[in-house]
Amino acid sequence: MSPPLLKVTKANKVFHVGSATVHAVTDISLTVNKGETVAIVGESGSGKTTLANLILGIEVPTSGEVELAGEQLKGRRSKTVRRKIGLVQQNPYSTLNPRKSIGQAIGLPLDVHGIGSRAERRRRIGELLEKVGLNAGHRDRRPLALSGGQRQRVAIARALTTNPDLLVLDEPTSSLDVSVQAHILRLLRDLQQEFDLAYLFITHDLGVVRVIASRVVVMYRGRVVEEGSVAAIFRSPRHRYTQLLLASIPTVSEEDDAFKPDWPWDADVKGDGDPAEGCPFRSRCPFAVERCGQEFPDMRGSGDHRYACFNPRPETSEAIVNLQAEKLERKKA
Amino acid sequence: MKEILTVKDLDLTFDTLDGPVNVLRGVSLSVREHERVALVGESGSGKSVTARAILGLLPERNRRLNGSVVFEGSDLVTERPSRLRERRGRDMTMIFQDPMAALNPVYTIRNQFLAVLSRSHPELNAKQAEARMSDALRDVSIIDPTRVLDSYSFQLSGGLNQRVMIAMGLISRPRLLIADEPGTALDVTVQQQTLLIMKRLSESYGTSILFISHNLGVVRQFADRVCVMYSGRIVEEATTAELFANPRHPYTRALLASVPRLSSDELPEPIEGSVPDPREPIKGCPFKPRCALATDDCLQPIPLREFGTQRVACIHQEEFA
Repeated sequence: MSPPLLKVTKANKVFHVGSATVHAVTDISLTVNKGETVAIVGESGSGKTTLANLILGIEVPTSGEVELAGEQLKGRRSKTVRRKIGLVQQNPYSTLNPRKSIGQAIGLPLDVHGIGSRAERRRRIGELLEKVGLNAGHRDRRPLALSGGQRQRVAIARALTTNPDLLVLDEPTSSLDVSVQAHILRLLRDLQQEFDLAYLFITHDLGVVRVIASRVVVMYRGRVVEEGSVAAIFRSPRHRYTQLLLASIPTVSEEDDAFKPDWPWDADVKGDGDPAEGCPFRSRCPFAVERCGQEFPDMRGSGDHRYACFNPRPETSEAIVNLQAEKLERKKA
Repeated sequence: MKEILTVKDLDLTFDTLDGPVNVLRGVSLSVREHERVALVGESGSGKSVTARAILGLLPERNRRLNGSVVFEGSDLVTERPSRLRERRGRDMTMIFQDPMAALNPVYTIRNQFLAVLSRSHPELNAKQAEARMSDALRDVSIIDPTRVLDSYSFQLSGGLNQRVMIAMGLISRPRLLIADEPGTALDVTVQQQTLLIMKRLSESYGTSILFISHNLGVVRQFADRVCVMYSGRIVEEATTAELFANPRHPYTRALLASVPRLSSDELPEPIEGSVPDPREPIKGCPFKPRCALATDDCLQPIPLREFGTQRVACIHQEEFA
């Protein structure tokens, strides 16, 4: 079997801020295969952007390894390696230089990597614009003349210029309106099929994960607390934090409500103890047991669904799964 | 129940160097006592500007505002500015989207909270004021009010700041609270908690809420009644239950279809086309260019028509009946 496209092994990143040390990422391991979408889910401060920076080579891990197609990435990265990973960031209003034309923005990676002659670059830019649903006429326009959705398309086109194998998508739709988000999600799916791209999709929105990803990694305070296939995690979230995330999704119909786990919103939480020890989620967890304050739980579970929790949510019962199926049937009827 | 806020035929135009921009085109809505009404729409639909027009927070220059905003019997559009200032921040308050931006980082929370409190309760002495603020913070589930009052906004988490904003917004026990995308800047789990707190307090204080949001899911949980805005006008109005069970306007339906679902792994349906340019005059239905049901009749003026308690600005309703 060929090695996975991206493999992160036991990555740690520690920042020193004044006299304090911040463990932004602790013991993270993950793999992304060619052509698949892995979602990294977590709230602000969970370390998901630091993880992205480690993968992109913007930050160097304190310890641990990052491998791309079997090759270990150490020290300064060569241009050939950098070409293979593209990045799309959250806010298309701040990632495009307002003084440069769209063509210049998309052409920059071609200049940096010295790809093609002037005429070839020009043709390539036009081609990329068409691929993302714009047209060659947008080449000479400025970002100011475009809507948020169009700008995000430009950012995607720019990430594709060097024919990467992997795109790191850091909250690519969270600053967009929901009707525009739907366009971008479709575009991403089409591009993935056409170019056999792998996506690392970083988001705080589990609702989007369900429709775009095949696997999910849930992070909390720099650690992976649950990971597995989308099907397994949405059917039966085990870690209490994943349960809370799912229960917090604002749903728009009764069928969707049936797929949401319960959460005891009024329950008391202790909120005490040293967060450096034990499970970092316990200060917000009404299900915390004594052991949660003593050590961080090892990953348990098997193959396509693993979680780190001493008092996990019980598996979703057959009865509830049947009820969910029934709700869906009724909706279709 | 009695209406405490009635907005009628609100038109708003800004004169810019590129010519007039027609931001609101005949918005009418009402909020009754103890009611939570949501104004939902995408960016540029005019929902935030409606809130600002109601509160009188719009810039004076280069604007033309027509229509009426009647709040407990007096018209805020024609009201004397001095009287308006008195009521604003006391009888009618507002919570803004980003608590980090709304709180001043160079003053402690106590300083800012005192300024708010002294508007509605100038008679309180320092000790009473302190007690009042502590109680208000406990009401929003803050367990250590003294620490929070001593802090600056940048020392507190986004969730705590948002709760401080809610406590400030409700300290005068206003008749109406206008909440512009509260919690949107926060994490989902925290947003959920803030909404629950706001809902519970508005019920126990008897405060009505005009709730502005782009998130249909949040609206469904929070509001009793929903107004859907598109391109500066309200295209559909219904009780929350009705709107989600039986959305009538093609825009409402399209908007709902674009939300990713927990019950399905299919990609949501995007809405083709884009919102009309507010600088262009619009004939008839603003959604016509993007609507599958559109016919030439859609170029006529489209009034809101009633279907039971639902009001819809669309002439193609027989198709759904």
